[in-house]
Amino acid sequence: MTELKIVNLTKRFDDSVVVDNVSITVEPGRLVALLGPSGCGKTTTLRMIAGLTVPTDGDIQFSGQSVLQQPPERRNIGMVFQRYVLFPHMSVAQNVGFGLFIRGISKTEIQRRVREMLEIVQLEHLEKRFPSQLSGGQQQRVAIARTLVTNPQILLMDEPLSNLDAKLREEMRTFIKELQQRLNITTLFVTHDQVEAMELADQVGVMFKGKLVQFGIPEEVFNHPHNSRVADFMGATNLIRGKIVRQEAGGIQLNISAGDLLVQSPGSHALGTEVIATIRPEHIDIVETEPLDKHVGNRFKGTIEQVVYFGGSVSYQVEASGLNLKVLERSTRMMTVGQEVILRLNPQKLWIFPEQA
Amino acid sequence: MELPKANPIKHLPQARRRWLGRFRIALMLAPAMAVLVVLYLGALVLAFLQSLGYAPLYQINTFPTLHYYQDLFSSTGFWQSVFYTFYYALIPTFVGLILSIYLALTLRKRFALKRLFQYVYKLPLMIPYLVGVSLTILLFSNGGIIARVLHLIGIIDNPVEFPRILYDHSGLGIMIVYIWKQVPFMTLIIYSVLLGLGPESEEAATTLGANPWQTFWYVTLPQIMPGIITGTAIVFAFNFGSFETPFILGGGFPNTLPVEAWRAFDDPEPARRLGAMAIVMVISVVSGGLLYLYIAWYRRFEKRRGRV
Repeated sequence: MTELKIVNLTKRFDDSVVVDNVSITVEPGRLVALLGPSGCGKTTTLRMIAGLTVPTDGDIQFSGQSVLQQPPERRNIGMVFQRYVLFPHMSVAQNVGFGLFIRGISKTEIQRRVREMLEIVQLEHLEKRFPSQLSGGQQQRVAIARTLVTNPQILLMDEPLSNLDAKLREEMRTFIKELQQRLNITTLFVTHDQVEAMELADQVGVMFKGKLVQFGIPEEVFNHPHNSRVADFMGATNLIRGKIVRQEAGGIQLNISAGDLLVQSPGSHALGTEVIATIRPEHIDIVETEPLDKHVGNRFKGTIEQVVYFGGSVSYQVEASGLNLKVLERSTRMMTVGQEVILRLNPQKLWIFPEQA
Repeated sequence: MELPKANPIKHLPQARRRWLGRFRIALMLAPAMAVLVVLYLGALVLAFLQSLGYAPLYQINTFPTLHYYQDLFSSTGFWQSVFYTFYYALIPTFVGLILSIYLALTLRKRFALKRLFQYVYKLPLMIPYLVGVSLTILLFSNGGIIARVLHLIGIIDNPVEFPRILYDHSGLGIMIVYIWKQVPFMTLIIYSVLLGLGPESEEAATTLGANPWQTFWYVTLPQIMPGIITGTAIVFAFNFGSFETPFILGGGFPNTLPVEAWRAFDDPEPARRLGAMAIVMVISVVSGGLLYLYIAWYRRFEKRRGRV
């Protein structure tokens, strides 16, 4: 198994810095997801690892050895592209066997390994078909089989599920996760879908404007974003500005527009520091009839301004004394626009970071 | 007040609607079909009849006879003409194709003055063949510009010593004109296909371990094949039926089939004109056969990829 390490990797195109001093280590056999919006530099990072784009600065190491001087065909990597990029003039079996064929492996050995790989991706019955005769999901499986058949030391996946419909995407996520764990291959997965990253990755790196702004296990990135951009990108759309007024063992007390807010967030901050508190929409409780008790904190009276029904869940936009909060809950009940409610913000689910971050 | 209906045909009975629809399509196709039938097919039928001895215009009517074909096929000059026609058509098509592929692949890369080059290489497309012929004479004839330059720098003693490449059966002059004129055309077609293909296919091959040559041979070339076949079919068909270039730069009798057809047709003896029509029919059959082979090959190509 191979360790992938990128050190201070930088790419400039003319005057713009596309990848800015990015360093990541993917431990052997682990799957790391690079998450970020379009144009953040994640695909360029992947292309530099593959050798398809030449870095301006920095280093790329496979198990401690720099591969910068090696052309892409000698790096022994496998890359799955966003648009599958199967060779349209070759059958499924020929596509999967291509990497073996150009390595000069015997015909019988190619046939054996292709059959084996097609069994793994459950497409053995389609070996004679051409790419144009396959569905999107089947094409993606062929692309994965073609990549894995050569036993690459690193697997790179560039938004491999973005062209699939929602149901197929879910199936393929499970398939990729199982396959990666079964083959134990060091994998870097690029995506703009936070659900995909959370489900698949052992660790997640969040990129914005060429910079790696947070790197950690999915739970950490999901629940404890380092700044408002990460929070927003991870779906924690509730950002509450406030000032630290008290700090004690029980937590940090903030003064916000709607009153006081208690946050049980680790770390110490100086009194008076301007911070942003964030809480995910699904972590806010919405109560219809509970009487407002001024002695219990983190409860705010508000009015429902918008209701969006998603089927299994329902989203409410609630205005509460200057706070505009989004609440997501299961659609076991439906409230109406204009209804007065009470919001409960669990202090343990709140997270703060300095405003300038 | 009721508004007029947008599509009155929509409200007619189904059978009538279908009939009207077909009539409308036939009407739309009529101008193009008229030109094809009257000018091309009509002329071809007339040529075929004349080649079989039916020419009341020249007071000849020995229809039906294969006499003109027998004369043609038993003549050594005719078979030499067939050879030169294929030779002058095939060699520049093949050489031009290799140059065009190389040029198209180069054009995909980034290099200084690329925009200027992209304009300059297309220039021959807009210049008539006759201008190309004149330029070739100016450059490559004995005493031409190249001969004079070689004389000036002392490589040859006299401009007349420059090797003869025009007006002989080697056909080098003819081929130079064809290549000069047709490389931009084939490059344009292949380059367009390459642009449509994008770099991803080649990148995928590279990440799978293919070196640049393997990538080109196994991945790029098969995918640009439709462009190559289209380009070469058009260019070959043109070269095969080309008249003015071999007429001016060729080595005299025997020349290509179109030139020989013209010479026979230009003869004051009416019977020779019927022989010219036999040559025209041979050219048409060969061209038609090649077109059929091209279509059949292309259908097979698409079928193999599961697209038909």
